[in-house]
Amino acid sequence: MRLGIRALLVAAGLAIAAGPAVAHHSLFAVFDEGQTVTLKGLVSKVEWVNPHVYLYLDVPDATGKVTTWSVETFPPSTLRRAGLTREKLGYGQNVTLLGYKARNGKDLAFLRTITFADGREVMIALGDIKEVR
Amino acid sequence: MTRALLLVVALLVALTQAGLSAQNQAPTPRTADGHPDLNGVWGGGGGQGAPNFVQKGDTLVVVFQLDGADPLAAGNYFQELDRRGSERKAAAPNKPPYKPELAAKLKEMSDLQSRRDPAFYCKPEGVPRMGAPSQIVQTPGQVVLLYEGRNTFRVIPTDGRPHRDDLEPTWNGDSVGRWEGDTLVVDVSSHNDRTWFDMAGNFHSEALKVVERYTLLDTNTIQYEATIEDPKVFTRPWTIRMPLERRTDTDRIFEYQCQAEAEEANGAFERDPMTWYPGPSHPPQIPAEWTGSAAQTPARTPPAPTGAIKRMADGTPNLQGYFMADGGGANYGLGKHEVDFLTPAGRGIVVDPPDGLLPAQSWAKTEMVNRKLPERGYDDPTAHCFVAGVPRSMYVPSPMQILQPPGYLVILHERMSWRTIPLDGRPHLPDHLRLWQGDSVGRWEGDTLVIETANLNGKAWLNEVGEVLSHAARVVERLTPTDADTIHYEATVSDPLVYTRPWTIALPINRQKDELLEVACLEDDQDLPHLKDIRDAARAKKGP
Repeated sequence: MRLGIRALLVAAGLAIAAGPAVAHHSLFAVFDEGQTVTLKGLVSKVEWVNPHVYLYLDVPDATGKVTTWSVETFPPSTLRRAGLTREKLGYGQNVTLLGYKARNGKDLAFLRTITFADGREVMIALGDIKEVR
Repeated sequence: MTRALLLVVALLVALTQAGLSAQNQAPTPRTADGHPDLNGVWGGGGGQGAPNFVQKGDTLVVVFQLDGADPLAAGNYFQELDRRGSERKAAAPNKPPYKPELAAKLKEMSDLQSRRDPAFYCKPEGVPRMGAPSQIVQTPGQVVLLYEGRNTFRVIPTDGRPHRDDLEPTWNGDSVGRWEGDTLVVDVSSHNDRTWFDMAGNFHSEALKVVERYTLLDTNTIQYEATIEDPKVFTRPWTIRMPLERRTDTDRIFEYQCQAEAEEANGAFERDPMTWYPGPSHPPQIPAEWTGSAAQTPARTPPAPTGAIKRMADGTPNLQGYFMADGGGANYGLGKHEVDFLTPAGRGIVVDPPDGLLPAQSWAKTEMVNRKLPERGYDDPTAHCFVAGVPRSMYVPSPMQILQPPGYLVILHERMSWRTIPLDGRPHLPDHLRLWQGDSVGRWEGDTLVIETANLNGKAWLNEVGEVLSHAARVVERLTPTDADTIHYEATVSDPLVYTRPWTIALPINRQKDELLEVACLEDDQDLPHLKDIRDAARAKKGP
């Protein structure tokens, strides 16, 4: 299916205008790229909203107490351009998630990678597509 | 960079330059009427067309462009993004010249961009924000611009007619074009004041006038320029400019349904589990009936012409012009039906089977009864302003325009969608690629244009009462002109998931005098919230 979406986009040559701004607020002000956090839990909700999509991850601790983390990511237009949907971001699934922690210490992170049970990963990155193509 | 790599890069640069200068020397391609030939598929305008993702082994890497940075490495990218953003803002050479007294309003729009930007809600973007067209279809006296982003289009007369004086302001305005030497100049007026120029909150009033200039610099490059004038908000006119590059990787573009994608992703629109691709019914269980002769698409005899038909220079029938189907109430039922609560009677357009009824499987009969319930009105994709799909878009009571550039048929539907159909009989897209309107490929059989459509995503309904079509459907449409102003239209639908045998509808499509107007279905849609209330109330009553 991964290949399917990719092939579709290539075949269809979908050219969706993505604005130049990923950050409707400063990501640097909110998140610390030096502080990563690994979370395992259930993606209980995906808010597919502008300007940023949010995943909500129910993370149980050793005692079974569940903390819900908010995980911010790119705008819907950017994710859609890559063929991602709520389902493909793990909605309803147990995943392992790597993110950059919020500076304010709250249960908030900016998404880096989602790893699914079957080993597939989605990585969300700032950078030059030419460097990885 | 290693020496070998540098050599490769140098070679590539040299080759590209050689290629460019060869192109520059080539004569400007021209249409038969002597104007520069802008026909083709175009990209560029900021390089937004390139894919923003790459598959690396098991990892799908989705990239937000930050030039020169390695997406796989860790870095201080958030800070770098901020730094480049403020640099770009400070260095912008061409800021819109707002009247000083509007500074506060501009700041407010910019600050509230994430909530107010109409593009975030899939609204039409207007001119010039909708940017460069993805495809240009140029015919004598008319240039049609197709946009991939919202499956929308603009029709620009170039036959010297003035602006219409009977139009209310619209999202994309009213465009009139003319050739000034080798430049296509398009004058756009009658804008509403709801579109923005960009994500920075730059706004305008209804007094906006835009003049676009399309100049073919060489075979593969158009210079796009737009001069923007709005005496209510700007102190002077200002101009934006960008190059469009011809795309050589494809000869056609495909729909991108912004509203549908957004509503599916956020859960506002729910797909019918029985019909969508891939869905639980994939792969489809083909019933035994379909293994016999009924599985074959029945042959149809085209009707004899009743008058002279128009022809293209190459002798094929000329189907071009403005048309509207006489669907006879098909949007409320394809079979013959009496007046029902809120729905008019229909004469019935099913010509096969002979009883004029859709040969539905029993589950589909039940589903069709259910879809007529008031609480299911919300589930009709067209209630959400999604595209009607194939074949529904051909018999909804709404005008269409047919264009016949060499090798293709293009249908513009006034309810803002287009379909491009190559006529070379090429194979369909791979099976797993699915679209609202499917993948249509045509060919001429005598004077009948036969269009086969596959790759449907199975989310569209056949009409407002919810007659069912699934992802397994194949649709064969036949368009036969019977005189200069009439096309006999037939569609045979073979859908083994839903029906017991293929069935065929037939209806006339009649020439209209009127050109298409902008019908932005998204605008102030008041019905959908009501339909949602009815659905939610019914669900609450049923309980979880």
